[in-house]
Amino acid sequence: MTDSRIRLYQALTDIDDAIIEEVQSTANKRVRQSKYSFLAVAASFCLILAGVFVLFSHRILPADQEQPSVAQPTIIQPQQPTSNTIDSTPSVPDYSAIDYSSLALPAAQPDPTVTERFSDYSVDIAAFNEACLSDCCGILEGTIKSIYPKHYTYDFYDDKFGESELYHGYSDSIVYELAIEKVWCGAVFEEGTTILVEDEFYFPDVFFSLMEGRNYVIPICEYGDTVRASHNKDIASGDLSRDSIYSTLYPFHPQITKTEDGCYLVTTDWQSLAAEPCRVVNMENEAEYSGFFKDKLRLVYAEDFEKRLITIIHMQLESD
Amino acid sequence: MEDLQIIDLYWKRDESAIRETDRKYGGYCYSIALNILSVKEDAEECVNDAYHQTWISIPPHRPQSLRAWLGKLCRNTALNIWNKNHAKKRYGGIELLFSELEDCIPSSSDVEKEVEISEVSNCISTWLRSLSAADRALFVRRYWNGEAIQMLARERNLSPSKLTQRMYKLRKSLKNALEREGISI
Repeated sequence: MTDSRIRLYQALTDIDDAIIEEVQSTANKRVRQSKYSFLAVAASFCLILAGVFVLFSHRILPADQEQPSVAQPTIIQPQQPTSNTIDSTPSVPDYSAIDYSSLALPAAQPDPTVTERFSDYSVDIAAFNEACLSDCCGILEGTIKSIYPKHYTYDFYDDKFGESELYHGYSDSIVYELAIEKVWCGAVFEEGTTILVEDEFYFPDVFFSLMEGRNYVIPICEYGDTVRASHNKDIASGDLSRDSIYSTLYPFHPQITKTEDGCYLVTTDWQSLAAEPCRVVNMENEAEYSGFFKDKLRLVYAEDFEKRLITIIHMQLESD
Repeated sequence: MEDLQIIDLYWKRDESAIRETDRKYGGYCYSIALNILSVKEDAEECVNDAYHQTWISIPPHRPQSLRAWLGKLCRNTALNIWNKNHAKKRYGGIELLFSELEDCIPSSSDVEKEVEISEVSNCISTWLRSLSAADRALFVRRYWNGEAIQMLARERNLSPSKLTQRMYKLRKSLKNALEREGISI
């Protein structure tokens, strides 16, 4: 029987190339519909809704109450994008710890629209892991060319305090203009083009929110063409169309950041990407930062990063 | 880089061929090797051996599909590694595949001839072409790529047990196809 199993394995190995090609290429080209299932099923997601979304992003006011003004986008000069072809791996790789302040990151500032509005609140968030990538429709490397806030206002009817009373609702988002320099996966995206990515949830971090002029690797998902705040509501009026159907897949942690010398700064919740060998990034000297990711940053050389990310893509994104 | 360009590099004996192969298909090869062998170090060895085999086989060969070529080399190399080490080392991936593939082996009483492996391959290919695209992908990804049932099930929003039943039907279907052709393995 054992010999038969080996013969069958060998026979299976030698099946027609066209079948192998069909299955593998279909798997590679598949563009997934975003389901956000990993967020939806997490019990703690309710706290996000309660803690951030309802209180700040989606504020519901009585119809006669004044609405706050919208913050203006901050203008920051974009930095020159780094080349994709830099091989950061030295002939003798240095895997010693490195200070965050020593990283070759372009000078940039966080957008105050993000950091000032949402910096004081603590929420529980479903943790990221690489399996979450099954919900993404592309992994894109590129430079953030601009950031602007978007503000939605709408009226809707609700029976909360009386039959069909009219309410004002409003919701905010942040839109990023991403110049795509490399498509790691996602057949609908093209290098050299620019897309908008609109996030209704975002990461209010002075160090790690997305910044203009910096180069990132961002898993993207399809989110829909109207804002979430309007879902399941009896809308009376208001334009709820998003500027982009795309969102950051997991906006609650630092996105992978490419340094000017071609390395990649990743968080340890990318289990494979941040595996050893890599360099521990030391933030002890960053007095201003006391956040969750203080001891969770790793610097990965380009060669290791590329190999690992391709493996993850094959493991997490292949499908029929 | 396009496959034809990579193959040309092999034909020119340009060592960057291996680097380009690894850049384009490294993750694919490694995932197959790891799925089958389940041991990281051996999977890396398997991929390196497959690259070496590619280097010494092209030329004279000029594969129509570099991806299929590399995948087959990885599977063959993984089998060699298993043959060499399985007495002292456990390889969960391939052993599970073997145990599932037993369901496909035709009953000896129903068959008339033991045939060349290439003939069995042709029969399997014909059978695969008769399946729906979804079932074909499922079978190839499970038994050729060695991907885990749990992952395949999650992608399809199925429970692993439901997918296991479907895989069992596919294996029985292959067994019937082989028996209909009078093939013994």
